[in-house]
Amino acid sequence: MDTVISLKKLTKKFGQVEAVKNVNLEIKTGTIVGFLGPNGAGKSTTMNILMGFISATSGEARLFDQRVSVSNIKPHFDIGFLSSGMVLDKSLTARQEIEYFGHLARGYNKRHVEKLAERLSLDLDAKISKMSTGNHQKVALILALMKQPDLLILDEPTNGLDPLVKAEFNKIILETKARGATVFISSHVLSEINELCDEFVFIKKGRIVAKMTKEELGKQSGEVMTIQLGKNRKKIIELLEKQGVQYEITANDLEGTFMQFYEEKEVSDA
Amino acid sequence: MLRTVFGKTLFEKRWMILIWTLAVFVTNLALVQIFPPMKEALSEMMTDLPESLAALFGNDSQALTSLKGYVSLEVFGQMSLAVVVFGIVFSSSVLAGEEKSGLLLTQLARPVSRVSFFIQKYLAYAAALVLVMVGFVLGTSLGTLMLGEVITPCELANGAVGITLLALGLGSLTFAIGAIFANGALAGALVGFYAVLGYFIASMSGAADILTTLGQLTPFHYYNEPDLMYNSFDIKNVLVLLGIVIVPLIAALPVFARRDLRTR
Repeated sequence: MDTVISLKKLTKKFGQVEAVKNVNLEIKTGTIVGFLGPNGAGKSTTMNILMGFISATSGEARLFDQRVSVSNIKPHFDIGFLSSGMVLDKSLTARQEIEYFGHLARGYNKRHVEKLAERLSLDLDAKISKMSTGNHQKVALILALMKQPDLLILDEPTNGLDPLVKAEFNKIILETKARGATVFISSHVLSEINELCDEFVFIKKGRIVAKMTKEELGKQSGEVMTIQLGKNRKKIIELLEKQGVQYEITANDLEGTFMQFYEEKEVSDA
Repeated sequence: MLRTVFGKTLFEKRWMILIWTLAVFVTNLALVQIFPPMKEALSEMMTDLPESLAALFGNDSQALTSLKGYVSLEVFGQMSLAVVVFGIVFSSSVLAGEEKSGLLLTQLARPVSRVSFFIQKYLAYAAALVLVMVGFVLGTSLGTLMLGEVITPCELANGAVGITLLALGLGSLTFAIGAIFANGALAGALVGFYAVLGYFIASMSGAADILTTLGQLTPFHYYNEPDLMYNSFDIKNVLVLLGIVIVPLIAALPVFARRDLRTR
């Protein structure tokens, strides 16, 4: 597998503050890598260096085997980028916004964009200024995905999205991987990207503190299976006890209840 | 229009451009229309003025009583400040303003080089200024035609090109400071202060030697000095104005192309 992202001894200082310290990282083609850490850990700074918005104080960042610099825009042809606070032009409609950025990216495919908008339940003719945070984030997602790029760099992409759209987002990301693209996705919530990622990189105070595959992470945390207990509650518990499986019964969490409500509603609507 | 940074900037600022163009058109038309009732009063005022005060009007004190002189001093003189204000406001928001809001990052995440972005943004400013100047010239021409007098296109062009270069120059300065320091408000305030101060110093440069010397440090000196409405261009003054347009851009471009952008 080829290396898509390569960081070698990458360091970024803002005055006396070291936001990123000596970071080494390699991301292979066709993988989904989660970049995890609390707020202020250095995730966005690393991604901003990769995008050429800011330059590294020392070390090297490479994308598609090309050195990243503030003046090298070649890698941008093959990248879809999204940041959680991405600013859009409020005077435009979603369609105008996407068309503009599509032309800048030299890859506007109207049919693909409309399909994405349909999947994310986004009204393309709505004004950006009238949109909720969630819909705003959907436009930003389409901007990142519209060109079907070889690499997606997503900085906290699910901020503001409701659980249904998050589920659809996850499907789209897995489809992106299936066509051979690479995804580098940051979050400060492991559970949000746990299902998606093949590998995890943990960063804390600018330093990478752990790297592991999904399997390794599973072994560290123990495997968890969730079973919805319905009418067969008694039988299921008996079966688990017979097999000697450790189990814990908890009330449905709010997110689960929310999803259940909408999923049932969608079925009844259909 | 929404295909390039240049086109999108003009589209996004279309209402601002339209309102300024119309405002300048209507103001110039109205300023020219009040010349007949003012002519006599101005004539009396100029003959009654003591020599020291008349010096403030420079060599043009007699010209104020002819339409051409009035247009040159009142319309092209006073309204140049309005065009300069438009230039400073527009150029402070067009690049540095977008960086402050975060919109710059969204655009530079696409394959657009910073150099291309910088140039397209400046060209959008220049195009907007030309549109405002079209309103300026049309308002003035229509006003003089309604009074039954004609100012030749060449005379109008002399004045209009002078104002355009002046506003382009001060706009360049604003644009460049904004691009270097990622701060449009700072750029607008600094250049705005310099422009207002320069305007008054240049206007009063006949009153004292020190003001004449200081006046040479303001771009208004190179715009006012040759009486552009009457004479052909003084090439030296045009070159100075062109220098004020180009030098700030040349200084700012490499800085903007290499520095860290403002991230959130």
